[in-house]
Amino acid sequence: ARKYHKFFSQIDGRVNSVVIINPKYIKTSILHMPPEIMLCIFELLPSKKDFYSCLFVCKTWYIMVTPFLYKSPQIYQRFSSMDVVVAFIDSTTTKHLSTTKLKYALSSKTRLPLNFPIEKYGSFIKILDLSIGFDYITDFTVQAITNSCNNLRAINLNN
Amino acid sequence: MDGYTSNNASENETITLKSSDGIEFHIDTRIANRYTLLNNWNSGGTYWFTAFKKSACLPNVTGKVLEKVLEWCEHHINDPLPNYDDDDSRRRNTVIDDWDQNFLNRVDQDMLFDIILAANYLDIKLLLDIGCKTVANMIKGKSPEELRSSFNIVNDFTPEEEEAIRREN
Repeated sequence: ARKYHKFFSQIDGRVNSVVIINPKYIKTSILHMPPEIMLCIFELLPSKKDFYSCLFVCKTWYIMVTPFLYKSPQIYQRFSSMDVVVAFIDSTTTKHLSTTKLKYALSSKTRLPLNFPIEKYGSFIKILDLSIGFDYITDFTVQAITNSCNNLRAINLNN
Repeated sequence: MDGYTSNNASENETITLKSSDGIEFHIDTRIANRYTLLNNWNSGGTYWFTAFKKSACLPNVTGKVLEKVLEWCEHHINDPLPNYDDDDSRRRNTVIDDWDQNFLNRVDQDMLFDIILAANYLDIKLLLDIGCKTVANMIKGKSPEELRSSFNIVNDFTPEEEEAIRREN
């Protein structure tokens, strides 16, 4: 700081009025972390609930966290081939119930969003377990799913 | 007796690390070798180790942070080498040993992030891991508002965008 001080006093007598920004005083925050480190951190989070909270923090986090949230969704819903409706059993919803969700919770007994845009998030899904709703699944459903989930690695149909 | 003499011999061999703010650290070569600090420096073009033989300049790490990192390295000098093959199981294990926990609890948040950055830069995997685990533990179980306030993040969503996320997810 003394060095800067000297420098400024040479060009201007009113040193005290000059705000000296010393790199030492810029605090490193979580936003300085490069994405690869953030991804390592998110990978360590234990539950979907934590991912869900992270979604709403800021845009950068939203982009980074979404893939984790949908990597292996738990599903409980009828699959109809016409409207691919996916609902997730997600412990998060109880805490963050919005009114729309509450309505779904009461009407469908699923507690979960029915308007999940599979076209938008489908590519994040890597493992899909359809064993719960297998009664409703037809070849057509599977076809619809594979069309939108192009990164899908495993699918459990439980026969 | 033998241990003493060999210790003595290696203590003579020190290398000098210079932080970005010009503070010099004389470190034992054993530490440097253990944490492969020098392997990268020899191959990487940005490092000046070869040019100056026994000293190296770290333009990205300040003295305060380097001191912390070296303190950690010194404590862990006798640890067994981690098995880098099972990266996943090492990561999944979120338990941090007591000394490390203490070590990171003593520093404030910006220092913690500085240490993580330095560990990443110097490629000290274990320290990077425990840093990440500590941050993950800080994130765990918090609401979005709590996360924003504890990490000083500004909410850059408009209410409409937020509603859209809430609807879709």
